[in-house]
Amino acid sequence: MSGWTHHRGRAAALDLENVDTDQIIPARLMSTPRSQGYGGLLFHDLRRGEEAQDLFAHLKGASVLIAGQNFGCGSSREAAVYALLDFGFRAIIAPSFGDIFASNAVNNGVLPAVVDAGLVADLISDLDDQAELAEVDLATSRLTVCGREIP
Amino acid sequence: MSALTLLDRLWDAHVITQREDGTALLWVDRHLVHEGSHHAFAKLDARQAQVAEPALTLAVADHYAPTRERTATPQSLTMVDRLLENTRRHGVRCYGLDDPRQGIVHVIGPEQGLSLPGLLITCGDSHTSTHGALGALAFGVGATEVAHVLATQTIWQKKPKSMRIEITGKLGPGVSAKDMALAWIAKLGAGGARGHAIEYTGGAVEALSIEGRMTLCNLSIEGGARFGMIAPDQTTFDYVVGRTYAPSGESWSRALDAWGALQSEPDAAFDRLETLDASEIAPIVTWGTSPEDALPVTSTTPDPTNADGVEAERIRAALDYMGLTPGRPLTDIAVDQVFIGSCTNARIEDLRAAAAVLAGRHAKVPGLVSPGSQPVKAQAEAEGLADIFRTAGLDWVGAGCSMCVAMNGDQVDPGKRCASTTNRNFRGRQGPRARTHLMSPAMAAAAAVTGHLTDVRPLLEGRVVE
Ligand code: SF4
Repeated sequence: MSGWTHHRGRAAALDLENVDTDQIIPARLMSTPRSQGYGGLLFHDLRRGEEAQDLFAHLKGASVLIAGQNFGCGSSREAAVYALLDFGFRAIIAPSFGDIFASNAVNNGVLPAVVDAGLVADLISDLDDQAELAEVDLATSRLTVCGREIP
Repeated sequence: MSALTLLDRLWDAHVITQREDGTALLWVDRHLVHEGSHHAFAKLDARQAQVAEPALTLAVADHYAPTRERTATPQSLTMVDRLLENTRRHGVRCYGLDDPRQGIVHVIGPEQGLSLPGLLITCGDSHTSTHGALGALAFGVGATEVAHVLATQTIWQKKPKSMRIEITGKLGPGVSAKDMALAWIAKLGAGGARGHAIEYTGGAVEALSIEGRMTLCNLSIEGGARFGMIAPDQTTFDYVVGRTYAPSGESWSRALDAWGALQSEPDAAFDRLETLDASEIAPIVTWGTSPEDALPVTSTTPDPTNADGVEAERIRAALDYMGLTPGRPLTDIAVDQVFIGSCTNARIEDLRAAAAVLAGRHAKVPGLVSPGSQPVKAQAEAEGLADIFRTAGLDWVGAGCSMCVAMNGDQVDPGKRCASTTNRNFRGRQGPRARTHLMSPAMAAAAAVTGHLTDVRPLLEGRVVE
């Protein structure tokens, strides 16, 4: 487990609610040993859809993901966190999370930060399909992104 | 001291120690393991740790279990072998593919009498709430937690908030526990019970068999709750008595005394209360890509123009994925196939309910019936249910998770539409671009008979249903 208390990286938004664990990583891909890396499997089927290019191109290089409510609902598969982590994400910001997903995230050093739904909606529209610099500080519980300071 | 809920009683009985922030270290009475636990065994091996309590651990091959010889893929067999290898090395009992007790982990726990009232049960699977139907504290955990339980037989956990869902009244004919569950999830949303442990109460819940209660508790997670439970009563005791690992003789009467106390006190306060009237529930189907997208089969697909903003967009995207248009009667939707199975609905009573519709009829579309375990399979064959399915034109196959999660080679082809008794209609759950409509076993059987989503009730007229 990799602990961190301060993180600087790029934030990107995914304007979807109820992103379930099967969308984060389809079950059929989970027999892969972890050592092979799960980053390429993140949003596997979503990324292959028709509008996928615009939806996901901006996520590359980002380490803070901003998403809609109930992120990570569904199965207990920790592989969903492995995929996010191996892709480069260290923090997920959403109005709410699936319970088991949130524990799994914490256990792997990925922060599931619950932020007010209105603020998340603002952030998503500010970011649109761009990635912006973000800072997360656990000591002060502050998130800074797009010039907004969010406690 | 304030009056205790069932959750309080079960929780308090398992606390070993507590951190200042309220997170508790809990003793785990039973730990169930399946092929998906390979990450956890790898973590254990990386630390050169051993399984602390092999006798309290049981493994079973289910997620990747092939249900027919011809669909067994080398990949799925490797996963089963990896489980056998890991459990052998750690001295853990494992029901492999040839074991007559093999089946879906949430079916076999109760079936073997391993899941009992008052126990704390964990498994690396979100539908572990199923076992709460017996009055157990049962919840799904992730791989890091599975490794922790394997190594220590304990788990750190924050106590959830308590929620009571009271279901009053009486279910109508042709309406089942599955419909009850989809009804509350539709009402409260897929994240509606997040952070809570649900205790189901009320006349309609008490009237359910243990198998029906398991279906109800199983779906707790689809409404966001990691825990679902029902206080044990005479129905529970009658179900448990005589099972392989259930207490007997002297210890049975002691167990009954202890289990009788597993109730919420009448004046116990819950963080949340919800009420439903069972007599208002009609057979339900899902139309979209989340279990909350559930409607009575007598209604029409939703119109996104009646919703606003994000919700309208979500409805549009879900209809689009499902290949549906707004305002269309649900019963007009033609299906390509049916699947009857999964830890939600593959027990003997589920198969009886489906067979009651299919008897003497022919399925218009192909379908798969996968019993929840080998004992269920044997019983269904002895009762003549398997013959009813085969005569109707459906495939009667082996036990496992099968087409619920499409990891074993049983999958719905891209763009195809499946009437399914499973628990998740997520995009791609039953195969890439597969379209899933969730419903009860009787409703899936009705869809098989007519080739489209159908209200099962007229098809049951004049038939005896248990
Ligand atoms: S039947 Fe489906 S939901 Fe149940 S344990 Fe298996 S994969 Fe999970």
